[in-house]
Amino acid sequence: MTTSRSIVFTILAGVLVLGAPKFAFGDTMASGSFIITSDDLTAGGGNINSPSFIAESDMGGKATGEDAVSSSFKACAGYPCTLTVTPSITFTVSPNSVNLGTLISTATATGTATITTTSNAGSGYVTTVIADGHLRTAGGQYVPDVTDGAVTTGAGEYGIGLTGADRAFADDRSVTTTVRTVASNAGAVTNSSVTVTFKAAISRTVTAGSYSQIATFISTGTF
Amino acid sequence: MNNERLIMNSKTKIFFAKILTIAVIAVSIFQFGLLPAMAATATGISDTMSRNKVGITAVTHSVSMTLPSGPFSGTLTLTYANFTAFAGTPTGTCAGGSVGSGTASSNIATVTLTTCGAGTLTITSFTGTNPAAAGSNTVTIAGAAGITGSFAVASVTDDQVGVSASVDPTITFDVGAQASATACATTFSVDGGTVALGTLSTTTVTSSDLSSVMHICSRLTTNAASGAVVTVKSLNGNLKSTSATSDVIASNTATPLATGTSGYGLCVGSAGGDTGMDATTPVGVLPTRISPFNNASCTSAAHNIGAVTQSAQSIWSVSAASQNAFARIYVKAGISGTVVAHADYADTLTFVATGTF
Repeated sequence: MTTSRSIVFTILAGVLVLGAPKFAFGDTMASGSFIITSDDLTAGGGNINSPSFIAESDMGGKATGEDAVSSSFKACAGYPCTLTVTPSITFTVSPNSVNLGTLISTATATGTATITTTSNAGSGYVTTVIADGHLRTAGGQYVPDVTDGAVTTGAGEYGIGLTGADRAFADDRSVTTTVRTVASNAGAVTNSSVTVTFKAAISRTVTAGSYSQIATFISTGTF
Repeated sequence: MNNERLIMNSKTKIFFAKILTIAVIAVSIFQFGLLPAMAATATGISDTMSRNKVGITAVTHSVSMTLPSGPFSGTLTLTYANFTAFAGTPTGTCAGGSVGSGTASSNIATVTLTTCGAGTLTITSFTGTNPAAAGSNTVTIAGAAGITGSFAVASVTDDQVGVSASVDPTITFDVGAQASATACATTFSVDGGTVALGTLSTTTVTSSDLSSVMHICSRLTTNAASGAVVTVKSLNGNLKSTSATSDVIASNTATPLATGTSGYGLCVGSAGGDTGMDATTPVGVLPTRISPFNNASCTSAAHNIGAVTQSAQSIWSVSAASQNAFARIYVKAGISGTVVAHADYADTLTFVATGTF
């Protein structure tokens, strides 16, 4: 008899101990990976799986309301649920060539390219640019990089300016072999575009010839 | 017999009760997360790649993530969807521990963590070939270290912009006579003119910038990569009487042209302000005087001249592009007592600027 009570007591204690953390953390939620999970201890149930979703079902739980769903989160009233959003980042660079034409000392030549980013990275994204060298000739003559914040007609300067909500700076800056940030955002973005305007101005001592440069854009999301 | 069965049943129940108690305690400990080998999700995960363009080979990766409280030990794998040809020896750093050199092959990079704690984990030194198609590519974190997570990297059709431009070759040149009181400068723009030497004398050397005799200014701008040269060519090769063409004052190189000596020639001024140019970006080059017109001393009082000929001779040059490069040129003449008197000694000097592009 005593032994039977001991078994019953042990089982009850086990149920309490096992159940305690579940009750205590029944509303636990995780962020960063876009998962909201809540659990309860009821009569039964299980998970219904698909490649993108896991629906948790139970028996005996109370139906207390309707679900609230957005593109990133799903709040389930009365029932536990899980919504997994696949991390994603895409970006485009267009066009892939910019011809500034024939440079003259009395005007600043410009040409544009647009970088467009879509990402659900919770900590945002950064797009950088790095060049293979100066805007230069095959012989090594080059248009000097802008250093004073503005590409000025007649001054012999080359650089980029930016427009767009996510632009990294508002003045004119050089494009060199050192990585430079051109766009960023601290959160998720959809089709965020930054226009990069390449600008070249020459003095009369900029050597005659054909000039070229390759600018490489790299976009990185932080999830 | 019944007592023995009763004792056996009691012992069996006690035994199962102990087993159940141990199981309950073990499961409880696991529930409360007291065991170190527990799965944890990394946050702040990123991979800075050297290129995003599709199909590019040997693209470098630099992965960074934030680990929760650890410590974490064991393998960590990064599986890149759609990537191929991983290579290198991944390694990295972590807070409070170390990241051992791992492996990279196919689309998986693996490192081994040793007691990595909360903080930044970096993984570098591996390369791979980017996906063949543009889009978002999921990277999954797993491994025995118990760290999980996922992130994405982009692949794009083209991640570069080729910028091109051209600069046409240009050269401009001015040359002409200028009053002695006015120095040559970057703004000089008068072309042509006459340098009247006046009446020559055996008691003095006649020179530009003396007795109001004009000098010659020349100014050049070019973007020729190899610069430009200014040449001078004399019509007569001497000062010749127009009415008696056999009577000449021969041009000669003299350092200096002595008083009472017959001679005629040019030199490019040696004083500091006799040559110059605009300050530009890129920086241009100053004119260089050329022999025989480049004596160390060429002023209104120093009569070191070079002979002019009927063939073009280089008088000064610039070795690269220059804007408004200028040079002052002195014309000098003297006579001996045997020079036949005429009022019409003359010569015509033709200057030509030639760029080398």
